[in-house]
Amino acid sequence: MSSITNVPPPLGIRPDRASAAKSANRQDRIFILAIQLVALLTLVVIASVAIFVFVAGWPSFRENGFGWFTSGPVPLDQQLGLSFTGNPDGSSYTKLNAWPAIAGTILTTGGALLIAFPISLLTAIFLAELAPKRVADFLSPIVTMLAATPSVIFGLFAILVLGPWISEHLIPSSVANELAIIVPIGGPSVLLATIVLAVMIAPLMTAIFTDALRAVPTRWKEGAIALGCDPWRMSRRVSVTAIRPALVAGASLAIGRAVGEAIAVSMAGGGIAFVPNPMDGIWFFFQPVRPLAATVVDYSEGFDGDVLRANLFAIGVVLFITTAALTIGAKIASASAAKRLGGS
Amino acid sequence: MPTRISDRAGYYGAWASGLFLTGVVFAIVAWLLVNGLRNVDWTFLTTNPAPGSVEIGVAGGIVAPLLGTLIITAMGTLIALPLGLATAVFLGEYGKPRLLKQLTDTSIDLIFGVPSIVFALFGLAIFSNPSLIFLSEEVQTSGKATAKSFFCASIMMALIALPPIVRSTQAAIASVPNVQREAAYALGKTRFAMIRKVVLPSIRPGIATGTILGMGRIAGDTAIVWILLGGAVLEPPVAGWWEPQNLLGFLHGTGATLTTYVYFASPAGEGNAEGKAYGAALVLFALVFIVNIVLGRAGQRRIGRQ
Amino acid sequence: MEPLDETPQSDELYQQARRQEWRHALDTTSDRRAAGIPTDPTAIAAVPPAAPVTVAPAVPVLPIASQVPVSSVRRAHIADANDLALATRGLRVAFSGNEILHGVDINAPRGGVVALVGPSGCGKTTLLRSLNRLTELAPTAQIKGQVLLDGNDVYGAKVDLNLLRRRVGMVFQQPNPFPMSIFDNVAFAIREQARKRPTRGSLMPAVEQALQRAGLWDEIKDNLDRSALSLSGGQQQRLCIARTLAADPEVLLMDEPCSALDPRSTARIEELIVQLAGSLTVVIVTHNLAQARRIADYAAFLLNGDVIEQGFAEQVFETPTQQQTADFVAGIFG
Repeated sequence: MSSITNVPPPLGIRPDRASAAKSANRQDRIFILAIQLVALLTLVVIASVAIFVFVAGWPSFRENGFGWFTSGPVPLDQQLGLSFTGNPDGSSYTKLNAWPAIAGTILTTGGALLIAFPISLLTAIFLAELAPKRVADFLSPIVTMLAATPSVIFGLFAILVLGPWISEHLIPSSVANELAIIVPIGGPSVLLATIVLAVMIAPLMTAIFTDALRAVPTRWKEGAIALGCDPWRMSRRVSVTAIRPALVAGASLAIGRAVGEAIAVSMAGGGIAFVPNPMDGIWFFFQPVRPLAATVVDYSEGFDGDVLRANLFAIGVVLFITTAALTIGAKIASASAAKRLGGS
Repeated sequence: MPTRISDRAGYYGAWASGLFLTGVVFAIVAWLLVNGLRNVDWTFLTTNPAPGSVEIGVAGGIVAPLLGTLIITAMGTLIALPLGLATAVFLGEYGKPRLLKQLTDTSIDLIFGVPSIVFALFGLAIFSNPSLIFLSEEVQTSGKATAKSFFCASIMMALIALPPIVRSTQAAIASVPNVQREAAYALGKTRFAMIRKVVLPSIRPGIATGTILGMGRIAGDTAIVWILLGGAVLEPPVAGWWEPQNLLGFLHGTGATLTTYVYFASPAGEGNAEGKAYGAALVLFALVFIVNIVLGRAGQRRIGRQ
Repeated sequence: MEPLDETPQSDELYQQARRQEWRHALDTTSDRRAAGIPTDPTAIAAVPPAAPVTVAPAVPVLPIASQVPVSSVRRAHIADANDLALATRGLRVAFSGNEILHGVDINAPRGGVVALVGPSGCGKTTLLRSLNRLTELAPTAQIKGQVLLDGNDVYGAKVDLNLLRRRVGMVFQQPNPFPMSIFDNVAFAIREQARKRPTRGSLMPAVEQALQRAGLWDEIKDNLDRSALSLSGGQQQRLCIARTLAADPEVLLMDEPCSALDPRSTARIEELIVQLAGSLTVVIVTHNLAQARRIADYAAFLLNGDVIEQGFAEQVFETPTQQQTADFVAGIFG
């Protein structure tokens, strides 16, 4: 690249061409300035996102302090409703304890990662190392297709197919009735939201892991095979060790995607800001959740109310900070991956 | 064949996982086809959504949402493409000052990593500013802007289409051999002329790939549309919206896309019309699928060239 | 063309005699014990190898600078030039129908250092990679003919590929230590062979032994947990040799192992190869004639996928019978 960063000055310019050269130089300067400005624009945009969302959400944090992140006596859904309508006496209701939504995000995202990570890694090993070339060539675009599928379609699949199936076949009505006093359980639940997220992030991770595995230098793969490894052992012992940073990067991006997914989770989660209770045993999985991002979509009709608006923007702040941190983490991990693979 | 039990488990697990993900795709496609085709007919594709009965909130077809998807995708791409190209050229060809390069690079990563719901919130925050009323409409009571229009949604959509365009173009730029650049400089060409004559022609497939990826992201996004275009799925576009005197008003107004239509018509929304949701989902999936086929072709052409 | 063994018939007999036990040894792990191949790492440490482990006293360490043909001196440690550890018969290799090797017969007597020389593109690396069946990793490769390890065809139907590759170790042109610690690199093959995950303590003797044999132990014994990638190029290559030796191979294939190294490291590795000869058979590809003269007991000259001449190194290099060999040795081409 260094060769192109220094444009050699035109040599031996004849006087009659001097003005042409001058205008050419000016054209270049304007061009460079233009692309620099556009580059600066992306920076300004992301900075503005941070600032505007934070400013709009600040009142919610200011009113609630650290309590924002905890659970409170009033259920979250009720708080959000009150923050829109105000107290019965007409004063505004500013309390917010968002823990149920945070817990929903943690549970669904964590669960999805738990399911999707091994599947993605195994699929990546399959595509990059084990599958015959023709099989891999056939399957790779299909996995890409899964990654490109709009999330609302996954949500629809969840709410129309998996959800009804779960409530019909997995939940006895006696249990549903018994638990209905505390919370309605049914198809749309923490389990369903987790499954939907897992299906959504699996192709993303698979793509990243497959690329990384394919980039592992041949000399390492051959080295392992020459030491008597079959392709599976080679993948497991050498390739997976070599792509560890890419595993971190892929998982970070996938977590970010899962944390930020609003629509599909809103459709599959059950629509109640509830913290599933592990004490309920297996029924824990069928209790509803409403993670952070889904909350914003579900209450999007209420942006006219100032307090609710601030609350929803505050959720946006949490989403921004979380995903930005994950992105930076992934970036650092892939930089170290590049160094690792480029090294020696 | 691996001899150890753990190896065998892993080996078969890898096969099973690969086939499982493929199975998921096939299952979804089959399910969409079976349920969607039952509900897609010519009337469905050529009429506007209409209010339905008390039980079923949406009737009619999907002209308006389909149109919405096409308009948003086109406008978003039109905004993102020049910006993405310029950013990619800056990152790939110039990159000075270094600090700006690093910050821009990180910004693109962040724009990719931050979920669209946050951009929707951001759009709501800036576009409701009274000075930006020209992008949407005025709220009579407060004097603020509604921040809900095709313009507002398209601008934010341009953001989420930006990273794939930049990264794909950047990768293409990186694969242009330096010799070609040096040859252009040796002929006394300016940097601008060099990029226009040498770099741009050979990176067109890369730009196409990135653009198609970006279009896929726009067409598939729901959150931005839901918040910045409105959930008004049942509101038909004014008759003759394409005529010059109506077009601007149309683009300033709210609307729907296929994604919000599916959401609205699903049991999760107010429409509650399964059949309509299936039909629209199938059309949406088909659009994305076709775009992907095109993408595959473009990719192959690029490989064929090398 | 001067085959080392007088007649093909003797080769045939030799094969027959060995075939039975070889098949037996390759098929199952349990039978490997019967064949004298250790199955767990402690056994590697406990059972002394048949050949001397440390520097073979019979083999004098030669000054590298010496340009005198020395192979006659060293040939002392080869019991019998007709006792072939490895041989190819009519080996043909093609990639996408394009034939690289046209029926190659190569002989590698037990305990010797065999140099494959020839101009680049003559197929010597393909030949080497066909000996431990790495060639077939390329999907377009077609291989015909035989590669005989102790007289048994490694392309036979029931051959255990992984066992074969442990018996025929390989060192590559580019040092390729894995991105893990030095210890893990050397223990790699042993861990692969173990049924249960061995402890570090139980691996240590074998790791030390392998590093000793590769002449690396004294330099790195205090830094076994350092990343292998932090070593110098020459050390990395010796680590790769140690890693291969840890699998206790009978044959060591080396593909221009010094071409990426500086002269000092090269000298160190050449010394090592000479030391290792005797306890195992080395087949080395080199484009460096001087190197082949320094270390080889036997040499084969390949040109465009054919063996032009092979035999004792000094004979091939000093008194070649073929004009092409003479030209190559004289530096007229290559």
